[in-house]
This record gives sequence, structure tokens and C-alpha cells, in this order.
Amino acid sequence: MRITLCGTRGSVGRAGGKTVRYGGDTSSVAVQGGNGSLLILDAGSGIANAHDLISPGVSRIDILLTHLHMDHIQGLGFFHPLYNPAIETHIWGPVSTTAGLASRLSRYLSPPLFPVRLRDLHSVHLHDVPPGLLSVPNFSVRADLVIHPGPTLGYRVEENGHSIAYLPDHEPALGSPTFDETSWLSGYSIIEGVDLLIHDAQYSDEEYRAKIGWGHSSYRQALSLARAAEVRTLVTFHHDPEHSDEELDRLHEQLRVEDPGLELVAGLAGAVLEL
Amino acid sequence: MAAEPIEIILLRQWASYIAVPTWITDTEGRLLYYNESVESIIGLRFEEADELPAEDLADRFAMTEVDGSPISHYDRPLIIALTKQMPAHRRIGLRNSDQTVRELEVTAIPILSSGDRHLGAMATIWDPNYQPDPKGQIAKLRRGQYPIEVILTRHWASYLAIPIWITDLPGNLIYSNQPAEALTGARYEAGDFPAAVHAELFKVCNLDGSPIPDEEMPLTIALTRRVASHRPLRFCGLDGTWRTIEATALPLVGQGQRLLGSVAMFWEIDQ
Repeated sequence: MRITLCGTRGSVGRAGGKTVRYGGDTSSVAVQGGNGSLLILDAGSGIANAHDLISPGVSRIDILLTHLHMDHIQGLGFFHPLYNPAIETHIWGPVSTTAGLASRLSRYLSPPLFPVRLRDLHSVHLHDVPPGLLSVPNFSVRADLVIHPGPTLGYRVEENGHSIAYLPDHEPALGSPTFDETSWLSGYSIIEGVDLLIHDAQYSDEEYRAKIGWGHSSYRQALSLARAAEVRTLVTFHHDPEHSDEELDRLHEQLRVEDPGLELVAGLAGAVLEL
Repeated sequence: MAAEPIEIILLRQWASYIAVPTWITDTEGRLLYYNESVESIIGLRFEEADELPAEDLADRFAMTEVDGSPISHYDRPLIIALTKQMPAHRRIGLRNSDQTVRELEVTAIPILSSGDRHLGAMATIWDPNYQPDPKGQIAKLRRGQYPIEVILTRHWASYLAIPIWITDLPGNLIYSNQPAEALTGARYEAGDFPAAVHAELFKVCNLDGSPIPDEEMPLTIALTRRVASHRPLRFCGLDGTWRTIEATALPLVGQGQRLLGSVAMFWEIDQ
């Protein structure tokens, strides 16, 4: 698998001179399979950076949405394959207790928020995601609901014995601050033993204390979760829009020094990771 | 944004994942949250309700007696839970826009946390005529693979001062909070606690000492009929002391209307 971090910023885009390396585009990750297949995790503004990864002649792309907050879907309407009848785009995402994905997603993909209606995109196929295995071709994909305001999924993707887990918005510390009871740890079933965990690391410890319940993790919490689930590599993700490259370097280095045992990768925009 | 207590944050997150209509208020009865299932009953999104005066909101939720007659303010389950700090469970009518009255059941519980903190109340709404779909049920919950609805239940239960059990669908105990351990005298160890074992360990009977058939126990009703159940009973835990308690059991109904298990709560009653 080849994993490209197309958009790494959380909450809202933040382009500018202070966010060059970590990036200003919101959440989107491209996963390329060995046979050229393409799976995209979330459709924040960073999804446009996946255009160059589409192999010529590809007939199907799958997009897995963790949840429907704007920073995870705002790039959807600008993703070229949605308008290409030669490519089937399959969009997978969470249902609420009363509404399916089509109903929920069309709140954004319809006027007045967007000029094109979801129902007019004829090559788009929508799939409600229940917890469990998904029938996504070329990959083994498992989803589970996790702690974040509103229905939110985490995904585990496997191919040829390699695995990644993607939980960009996740607050496992809510109610379980010490991560010591893995049976009761949100997301554990999909994170356990994964090769690569791309995880919410939005806050510093101090910022988290002021934003408990907002649905995100601190750098240190992401690290503790990775340790509890015996993850091999942790990629920090969903960077706070107020954090500059300099600030993120500092947070990252602080943890690397404190816990040199875990492979910690800074979630830089455009980073490519091979498994 | 004012920071809500962790108990309210967790209850709100839990309610957002639960398919049962759920309404949370503060200690004054002011609306803190209702979930999408309530939205579909009253036809008003929570975000819009937040801006409505309390009187207008009460008009939207047109609660009556079952026969359609007005219901006294003080007979409303949420008001009872808030004022008496005890659970309240009763059948009500809900007047539809076409003026017909729909029969529902409401269970309200006070939100009581450690340090004698009263944080508000939570009301859940049930269809007494609901017919469970056996195909939608999953059996024993496996440790390490608990659904998020169960994980969140455990988290808020761990903060509350009310004795609480969580069971899976066959009635196996999968979590007991500290107040429940104090009540039952049985310490919860990580690991399932089969239903048959806790039925043998603890003795229960009616207030007059007569036996309670298993099918009339609140937990059994919650798990088999998928409605909340509530009854006073006498309970004897491992310490050999008989106590009078009120037991309330709520079915745990998650995403996709999956019945996952139950939440049982106990209140000691002064005799």
C-alpha cells in the first residue's frame, strides 16, 4: 500500500506562510493498492491533491467518509471523478439514527451550499456503513463507530498483510483518560496491532484541558492510544488550524524525546508512506 | 462555549448514538440536548429548538394523558425526576398535528453524580407496542469488540452515583459501576458475569415477600420486549442485607435499531 497525506489540517483550512510544511488543506488521505486501485479516506479540501494519483483507465474509486463535518466533505464537490461518467465513485459513510448517507450528504451537495445536486451525479454510488466489514474491492476494510460528536467512523484498511487505521477525529480519552482498559477503549477494535495509525493529534495537553468533549485528542493522548493498541507507527493528523509549522515541530519533538520507542511520523502535507 | 460536566458530555454523546428518543435537561429543566429520534417525533431539529423559549418547546412536545386530557405539570416524568431525584416511568399521550393522540411510555431518571451533585435529568421515550425484530439482534457481546454505544454507556455509568449494571442481550453482566458494587456486595471483575450466576447470587422478591417471576423482572422485560421497565422490589446482595429498591431497566438500542443489551439502575427507597 502507498499512503499519501493529501490534506492534514483539522477543522478548517489554513493556507499561508506558517503552515507550508504541515499543510493547509483539510483531511484527506489516498491509499493506493498494489494493482493501481485507489481508496480515499475523507474528502476534505485535500482530496484535490489526489487527482494526480488516479491511474489512467481506472474505472472505480472508493471514498470512505469518517463523518460529515465540513472539513471532511468540503472537497467532495471538487473531486473530478464525480463528474466523469467513465469512473464509478463509491462513497461510503456513516448513517445517523434516523437518516441514511444520501439524505445527510445531500444537505451539503445541494443549493444553497453547493450548486450541483448529489442526485444529479449519476456515476456516484452511496453506501451506508454499519460497523463491521465493508465490501470494498481490492482492500479489506473494517469500520467501527468511535467517540466524536455525531456518528463518526474509524476505518481499518488491510492489503497483502499490511494494515493502516484512520481515525482523524477521535476523543478516546473522554471517559477513559488512562487508556488502561483496552476492552473499553473507543476505536481499539480497529487500531489493535495496526502497522500504521493515522490519528487525531489536534491539541497540546493544555489546549485539550480547555476543550474536553470537543471530539479531539492531544498529541500525548494519540501516543498513549498507539501504545495501548501496540501500534507500530503513529502518524499525527488533523492539526489544529491555529498551530504553525514551528509549533507542530515543537510538539512533535517533545513527544519524540519523551517516548523514543514508538515510531512517530509527523503528518506533513504530501507525505508518502509505503507499507 | 461553557464547559458542561463530563457526565453531561458523555450522556449527550451516548444519546447521539442511541436510537431511542432521548432528552437531557439541566436541574432547572432547561433543554441541554435531544437526539435525532426526538426530532423525528416533534418535527423540530435540536439546533432550532435551542433558540425557542421553554414554553414554545413544551407546546411542540404536546404531552397529554393517554385519553388526550391535559397532563399536570407535576405528573410529567421529567419533572418528577428533577424534583424528587427519583426515576419516573409512565404512559402518556402525544398529540399529533392531526390532533390524534399517540400512546407512548416515558422513563425519566435524575442525573446524580459523585459528591451529591445533581446535574439534571434524562428522559427516554418508548413505543409500548414495539415488536422487536429478532434478525436485528446480536447475541453475546465480545470483550474488546464492544460497540461504541456500550462503551459510552459504561463511561457515563462510571461517573454516576446511581448503581448501574450493563448487560448484553442474553443478560450477562458486562459492567457494574462502583455504586452497584456497593449495593450488591459483588465486586465486578473484568470478564463476563453470566446471567445465571447473578440470578443465583442475589435474592429478589416483591415488597410483600412474594416471588417475582423472571418474566416480570425489569431486566427481562427490557431485553425481551425492548421497552423500559420499572418496579419496586426487595433485594438481598452478598452482604445478606435486604433493601427496598426501585429497579429501572432500559434496553440499549443502538445504530440501525440494534438491540445490544440493557442498562439497569437501582435506587434505594427509604421505608
